[in-house]
Amino acid sequence: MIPQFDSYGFYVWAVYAIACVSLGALWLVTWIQYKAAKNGDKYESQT
Amino acid sequence: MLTHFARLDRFHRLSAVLLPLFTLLAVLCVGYGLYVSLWASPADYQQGDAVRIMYIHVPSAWLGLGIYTSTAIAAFVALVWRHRLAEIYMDAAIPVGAIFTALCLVTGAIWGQPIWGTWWVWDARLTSVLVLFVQYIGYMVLRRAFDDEQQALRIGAVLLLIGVLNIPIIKFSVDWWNTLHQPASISRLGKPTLDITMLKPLLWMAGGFMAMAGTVIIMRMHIAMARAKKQARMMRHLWQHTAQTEAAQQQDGIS
Repeated sequence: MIPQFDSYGFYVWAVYAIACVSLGALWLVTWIQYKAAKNGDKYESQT
Repeated sequence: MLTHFARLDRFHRLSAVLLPLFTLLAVLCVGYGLYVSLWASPADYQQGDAVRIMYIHVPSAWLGLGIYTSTAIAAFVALVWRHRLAEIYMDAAIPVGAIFTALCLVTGAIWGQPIWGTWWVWDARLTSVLVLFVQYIGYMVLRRAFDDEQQALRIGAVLLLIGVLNIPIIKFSVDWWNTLHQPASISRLGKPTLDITMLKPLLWMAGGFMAMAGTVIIMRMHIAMARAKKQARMMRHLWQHTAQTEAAQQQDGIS
């Protein structure tokens, strides 16, 4: 059963929101840097 | 086996397979893990819904400890055999471990407030995990504090090896000292004290977090290699340009 937004539910949702935002941001930032590095590598090997 | 995959070209080939595999595993495990954590698993008879915090808190703690241990092993390999891949791994994994340790500390504090009635106590488990987080930050600061790359790397590796002493302290702190933090529910030697309905979401989330950490670390290793390659190319161009200029100046001097 999904936790209600009551006294305990508030803490549960806060934890899941923090985890999703922080890990999602970590993955997204790394993926953007990874793609940029790969594209840069490809471009420089072509020129 | 390890030396076979430790070559950079083999790492590139292996990571081309592992990266999509880990990404898929992370999406599947975290997706299903969230479903069982928030919907399918029951609330605890004492803690109520607050027990669901465990499915984020415990995997984060495992990752924080596990990544530090793996970087200490890499530090040993880097110091003894001066292996480039081990050096790259150290730098790539440390910020990831720091984020998981920070997540463990923050979610632990949020769990502590409704259950213990306090965000923080200076008990052995909480303090030793905070020390681990400081060790992660310390390594990152130290690596940037030296101009000499090799010196920074060696000192960083020594710091990681000394800091690994904190890992058993964290693990056994709940047994050695009287702490507010509960003892381990899952151990390698005994049967878990957790019910299967709670163990299942915990393991799914742990698997998802591990796959995600693997994905991010592999991507960070690729980024570091691409940067090193670019820097080497720039240095080669600079060296060629300097050599050409000097040769032209010498020609002018002769004529």
